[in-house]
Amino acid sequence: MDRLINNNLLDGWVPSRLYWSESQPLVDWCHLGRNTFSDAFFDYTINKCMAQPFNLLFRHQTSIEVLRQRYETRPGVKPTGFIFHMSRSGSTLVTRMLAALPQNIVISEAPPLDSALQAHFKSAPASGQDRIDWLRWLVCALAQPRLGGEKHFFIKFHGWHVLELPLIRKAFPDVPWIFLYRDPIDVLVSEMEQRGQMIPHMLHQSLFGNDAPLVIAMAPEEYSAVVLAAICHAALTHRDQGGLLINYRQLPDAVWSSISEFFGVGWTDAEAETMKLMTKRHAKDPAATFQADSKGKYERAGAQLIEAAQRWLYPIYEKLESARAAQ
Amino acid sequence: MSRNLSELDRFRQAVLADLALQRQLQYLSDNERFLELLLRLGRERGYGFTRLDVEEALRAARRTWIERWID
Repeated sequence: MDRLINNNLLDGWVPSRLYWSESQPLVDWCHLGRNTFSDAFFDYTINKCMAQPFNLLFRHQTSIEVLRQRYETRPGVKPTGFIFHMSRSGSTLVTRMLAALPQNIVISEAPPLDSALQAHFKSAPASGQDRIDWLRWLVCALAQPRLGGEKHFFIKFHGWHVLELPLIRKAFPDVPWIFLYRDPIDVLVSEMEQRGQMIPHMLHQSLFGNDAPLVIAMAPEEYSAVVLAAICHAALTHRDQGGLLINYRQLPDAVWSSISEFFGVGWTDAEAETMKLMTKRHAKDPAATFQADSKGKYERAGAQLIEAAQRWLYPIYEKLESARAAQ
Repeated sequence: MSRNLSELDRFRQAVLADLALQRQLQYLSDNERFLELLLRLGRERGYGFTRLDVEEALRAARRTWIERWID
């Protein structure tokens, strides 16, 4: 199959998957149709598209070189701001509020970006420069306007991507970013009740250096606490390079105040009201009503969880709080 | 792969290279209407695939999509 393609044929399509076949990186493209990325996660939107028979039967499959061609010819909307998070700390609410406005393109936890960032773990490892290029090209492909009036472009990364901040900053040195964090017990209780990103072996063990065998053998509460602490440490270390720390307690007001100001965007009163309406819905399940869920978490936290939080997370949480107070 | 399936693959490539053909098929969410139109468009252009070929290809595509996380 010819992996190169006439550039015009990809207008209206988005890269849905970056993967490797015989050590070569390939891109699958999905026709987005009339859909926009207004769902809580990138994959929710792609899954919606894949329910259409056309998308099941017809997909462009190209070399990664095609992404470069499009990067050079279709720059799209320049990224306005990046959203990093500790996980379970309100990032989905922030992105849902931003996505409520048609002038905003909002991409949330896109697996192709994760594949590019983790490409150095593949059997044919990508160089740092490859990962920077691929990230730029993918972001550009996702930055294409769909309605015509898009002016801002926000990307929410996976929780662990803050560990890749130095590389992401090399790819996008001028893009401001925020880091959302929350009381450690609230985060850990959520993680234990609905296991997400903190399942052992989901993250590459090289992230833990020489301690990897010890960390992987830890109880789930302690493993999650160690991973979350590493995420928080990365945000704290790099906060002076274009970052703003936001505590969950500042939400949702911070979205139309400090976060918007930091990203250099402003909203009319009507737009702010539209965003506020999103706070009345559960961020990940729009059919349900959003309720602040901190209450009761302390009561549900077991002794092992509290011990893990105190040992691994509260020290870094306090440092984040001090740094935030000094912003 | 059967001869008919390869006929379907050839038609898939032709559609991917033809924006006008794509536009006819892209927004049909009803499986039956999609199938009927696909078969008619293929037949009109001399491709010899059948309804069973398309249904098999749709099943395989669903499976591939679901299994995408397995490296």
